[in-house]
Amino acid sequence: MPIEINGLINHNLSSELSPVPVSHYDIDAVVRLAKVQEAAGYDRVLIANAAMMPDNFTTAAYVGAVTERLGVMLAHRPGFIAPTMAARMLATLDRLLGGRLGVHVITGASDIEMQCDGDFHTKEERYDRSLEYIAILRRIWSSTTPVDHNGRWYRFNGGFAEIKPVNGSIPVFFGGMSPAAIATGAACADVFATLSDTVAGMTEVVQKVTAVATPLGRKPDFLVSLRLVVGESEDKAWAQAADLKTRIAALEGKAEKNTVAASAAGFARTAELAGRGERLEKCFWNGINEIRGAHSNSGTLVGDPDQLVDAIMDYWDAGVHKFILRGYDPIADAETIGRDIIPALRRKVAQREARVEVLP
Amino acid sequence: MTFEVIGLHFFADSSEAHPLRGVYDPQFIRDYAVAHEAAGFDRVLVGQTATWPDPLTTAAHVAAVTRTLKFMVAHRPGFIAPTMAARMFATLDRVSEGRAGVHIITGASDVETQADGDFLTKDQRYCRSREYVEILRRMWSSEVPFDHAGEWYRFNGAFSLVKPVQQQIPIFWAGNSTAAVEMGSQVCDVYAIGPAPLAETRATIERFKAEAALHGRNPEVSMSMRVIVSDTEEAAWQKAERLLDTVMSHLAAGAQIGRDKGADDPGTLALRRQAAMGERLDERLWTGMTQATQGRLHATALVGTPDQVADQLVRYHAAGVDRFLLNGFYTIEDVRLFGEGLVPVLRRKIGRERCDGGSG
Repeated sequence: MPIEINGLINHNLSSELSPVPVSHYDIDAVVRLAKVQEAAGYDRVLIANAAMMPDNFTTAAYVGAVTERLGVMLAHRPGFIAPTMAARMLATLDRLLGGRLGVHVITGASDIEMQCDGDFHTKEERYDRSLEYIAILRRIWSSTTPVDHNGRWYRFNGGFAEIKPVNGSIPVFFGGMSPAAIATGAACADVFATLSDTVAGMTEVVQKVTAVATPLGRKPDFLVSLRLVVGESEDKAWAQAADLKTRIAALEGKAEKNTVAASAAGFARTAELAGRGERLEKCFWNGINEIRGAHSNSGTLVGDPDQLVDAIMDYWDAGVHKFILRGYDPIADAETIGRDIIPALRRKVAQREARVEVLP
Repeated sequence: MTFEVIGLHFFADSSEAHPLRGVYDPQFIRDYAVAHEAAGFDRVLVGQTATWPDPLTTAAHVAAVTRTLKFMVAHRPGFIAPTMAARMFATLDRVSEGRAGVHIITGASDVETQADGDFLTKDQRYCRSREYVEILRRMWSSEVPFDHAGEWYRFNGAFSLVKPVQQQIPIFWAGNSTAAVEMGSQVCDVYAIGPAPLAETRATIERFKAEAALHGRNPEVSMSMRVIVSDTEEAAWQKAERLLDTVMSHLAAGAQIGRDKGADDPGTLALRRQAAMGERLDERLWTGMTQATQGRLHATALVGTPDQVADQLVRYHAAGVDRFLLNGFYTIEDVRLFGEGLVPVLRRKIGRERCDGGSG
């Protein structure tokens, strides 16, 4: 199995170090972020979606016109688009991206966020709906004839897409940490995706989800989102980390917080993680989680390139084969990761895989 | 009043003359848009049905390879939460730097709307579309999150962080039922009508404007028209006859052409009525193909030299048509052909007419 390395595209160049108002939509920044991450060797970029945020279908379709091989992981919240139509929208985008689209299904950070767009269901109801929604997406992607459907959440007669995804389907990434999320993700996800976490934390997630998925005949893969501080040496890396913390702390009052998402179970997990100490395991650093809070998803690995590759391989060995790897400067850090981490990581995975093959 | 020449974009090199099914061709999509821009078209309609690829995604992609070409993205209310749709179009307007337009389609047919899970009647749909457009506009202008509890939609704290570049994205509106006229006259910027003889077109415009005047509004009018041009009038008519032969032989061979909207679709019935009035109306409005296909193809066309067709369009302009959606039968070839003759000639004539008439 090849490793999958994902980056991130925001709709401007904002970062913790250099905040830009969320209301600023900067298409030139989008293009630059896409080109830099494509050149850095990323497989896909996550393009987020939330109530109030700019639309990501539109951004992704534009990115498809300015890149050659970069894929997109499109965050998508069921409940606001008819699933038959969403299936066509995703299939269209997948065609524009040459078959490199993944969809990251988000079921709802918070009730407040969902109500902004008119969805008044509870979180448990939303997960139940997501399950049906994903089944409909897949059916519309694969069916060569119009489909009738009469389910708990959706009903339609003759749903159909004239065009299909390039590879027959589109991988479904699935996020969420509540019991309902794990039950649903285990039942339908291709990839179970989490916020930043330690190797021990991911080992627990893999076990939990796999235990529910196996009896259902499913075997989802796993994705973790990590931030990296890459230094020439270990000492330099930690010095960079300390400097980051000082600079971000100084800006903290000005930063816009993702308050609508703060009640999600995944973020509660990050908050709990941040409380366990600033340094964990080989080189896991909670420095920014501590100052920015649970919503910032800032579990960070700090070290020189060899140490970081080694630390990431610990996740690989725990059963996590897909990553979001990003730093704190959306351009410069993507270039560094592309130069110092991605090729080495791919080599290491290839070696590991070759060894696995010769074992009896 | 805004004079505009609008083209019809499509996602594959397909028309009645060379039908193609199940193809979504990103290269053609880009080329076709660039060809429209080069030929002097101001805008393109990007269509939507219950089975086609998604037009919003296509438009966003095309925005990356064009500079001046505006969009008229067909959009059927009822399948996307209006708050989310508003953010989608605001984002499209951002990526295209102010080139978005929304074409609200409410009617289609019950069969088509049920394919995506909408079981409302047509009259109900028109009422809903009015509320939908009002929500779009409020999302585009509101500086603060707002609550809404209407007849069709309810939400709390809706907002779009990103606003359109244009102060308001223009709303086109289609439909000629009583409900369509009553609702559309209250909210649309541009009323979009189909091809008809001059007298009928004049009456259609008067009816809509009279209704709009009750609300103190004066919407513009866009008319779609198929066009067959050649160097001489005789050659143009021969082209029409040859085209009809080609289409009839495709149909005889079982090719699927056009959209089956059901036997009682008002658009189809209107076209049949028109065709029954004669094969050549107002000298050069040709109903031959409409007649031969019992109204299933929206193929009523003006036939003649570029000069003759432009003269006829100027008469429509005098009758109140501000924008012309001109479409041939040979996709990109016709777009280039129109760019060489019809489009510049029409612009010249309209400009002269405006100077003479002083209507500015």
